[in-house]
Amino acid sequence: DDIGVALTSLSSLVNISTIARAGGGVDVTYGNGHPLVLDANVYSLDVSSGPPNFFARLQSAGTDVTSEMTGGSIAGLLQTRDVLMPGYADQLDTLAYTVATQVNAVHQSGYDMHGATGAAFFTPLASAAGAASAISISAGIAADPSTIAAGATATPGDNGVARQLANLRDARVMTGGTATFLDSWGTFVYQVGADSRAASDEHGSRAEIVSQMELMREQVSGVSLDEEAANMMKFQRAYEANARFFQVIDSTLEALLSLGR
Amino acid sequence: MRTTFNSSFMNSAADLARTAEDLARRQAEVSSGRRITKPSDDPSASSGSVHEHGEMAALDRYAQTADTATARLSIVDSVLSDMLDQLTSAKTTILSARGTNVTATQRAALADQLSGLRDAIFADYGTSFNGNYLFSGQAAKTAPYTKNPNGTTSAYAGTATTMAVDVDRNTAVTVSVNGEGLARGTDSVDIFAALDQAITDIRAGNAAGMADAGSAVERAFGRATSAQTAIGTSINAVEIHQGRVADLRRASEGRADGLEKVNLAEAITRMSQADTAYRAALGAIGTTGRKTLMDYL
Repeated sequence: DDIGVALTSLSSLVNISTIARAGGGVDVTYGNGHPLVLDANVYSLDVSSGPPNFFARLQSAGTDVTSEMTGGSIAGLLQTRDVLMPGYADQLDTLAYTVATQVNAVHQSGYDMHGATGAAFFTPLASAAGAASAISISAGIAADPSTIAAGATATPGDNGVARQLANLRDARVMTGGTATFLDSWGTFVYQVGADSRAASDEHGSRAEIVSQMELMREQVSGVSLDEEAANMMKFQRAYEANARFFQVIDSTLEALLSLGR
Repeated sequence: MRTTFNSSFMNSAADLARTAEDLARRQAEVSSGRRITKPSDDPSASSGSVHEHGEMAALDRYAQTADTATARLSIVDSVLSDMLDQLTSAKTTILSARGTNVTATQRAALADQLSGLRDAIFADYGTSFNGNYLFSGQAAKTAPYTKNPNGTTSAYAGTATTMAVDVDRNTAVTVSVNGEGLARGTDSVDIFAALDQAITDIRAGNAAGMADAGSAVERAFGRATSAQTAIGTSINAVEIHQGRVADLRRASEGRADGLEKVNLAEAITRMSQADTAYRAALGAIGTTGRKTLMDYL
């Protein structure tokens, strides 16, 4: 019925609990017992945003209930936004920060073709936080590529620093000195793929469970045309039998009455 | 167990969706030739693929560097061969001038000939590749020697340190020459000064001077021969590493293909199986949809 359809749709969004009322309605709560529907009253779930990151927060009567969303698509979105994505961002930031720091350290030890000591190749980053989005070639280098410090000495043609920069490719400077940049990137790709695969597999198994439960419900409450047709035949024959009974009584009474004349 | 119309339909629809999804995936594999289009398709293979592509990029860089190094070293080798020819001619000219019956006119002609040889050697030292001098050590933008206004040759303007490039991991080759080490070595003057003196001594008929000049040219010849041997060794080393890098590149590419690409025969077989399963699901739906008691009443 309409209530069942509405509850099914609602449960796909948030983790709800229901209590059937004697009069036929349903009280609906979510999270740690926050009401959505109580008797004839409806309570709203509001969305707001604010510092520090202006992400959407869920509120019920002024109380932040975001952390109480443990089921449904809203919980999935919050899990992705507040747990998975920050984790991925942290890894990217660490990689970008380390690349910039290591390259700058080597570059600043060298000399450009004009004989000047090398400046930072990447714009220096204060910390790893936000490094992936902030990393950029320094303004001086971008404006004048001849200031790239490729030499270990001031002699034009010295390529010592350029070779050191190239060798950073194989340098184990990530993960406490145990991994290269490429190792770190490969690990990140694996983690994202594994998390996505796990979520997809979990979705598949949960969907199968839901499908089985829907099937079980359907077996109890669904309409079987064969069963209904058989019942219809049964009741039809019962009606015919009753009708025939009355017909026989009527004929018998008529015969009795005709005997008395 | 009660079998309702809805339950039959739901089962059939789920089976149809599953077989259709499988068929679509197999079709995509066959048409693209790839089994991985995103990391979640195979996280482990995706990570491995990242490493292989990184390795191939590094090997491609080494290959490009080796090609450039080979080109430079080949030019140096060619110049050294020409230099050896000039030095050999210089030795012959000086020997000719030392003859007891050589006239002043003949000595003048030999001096002019030696002057030409000196200038040819000077030009050899000024050889450049893509705008970079090959006999200036690391000072690629500086000519090793220039001509003074009085016609003499300047002091060496390059560096003793040579330029090296990486043609493989932990393998560097020198691609420039210390011009002063070649032109002077341990002598008190370089070959140009020695030849200038030889020209003067030939014109003057100075036998002792010509003898000294001959020795200087002989030592220059030895230095050039040693340099050419070293260059030849470097060229051979580059060729060996080029082959190794190419082999590594092929191996890496093979591993990447194994991780990323499908076996087409296997993929086509699976696609055919998926197509058969999909058609069977369609047929099953069509069959069960007709079977109701109403049809028999």
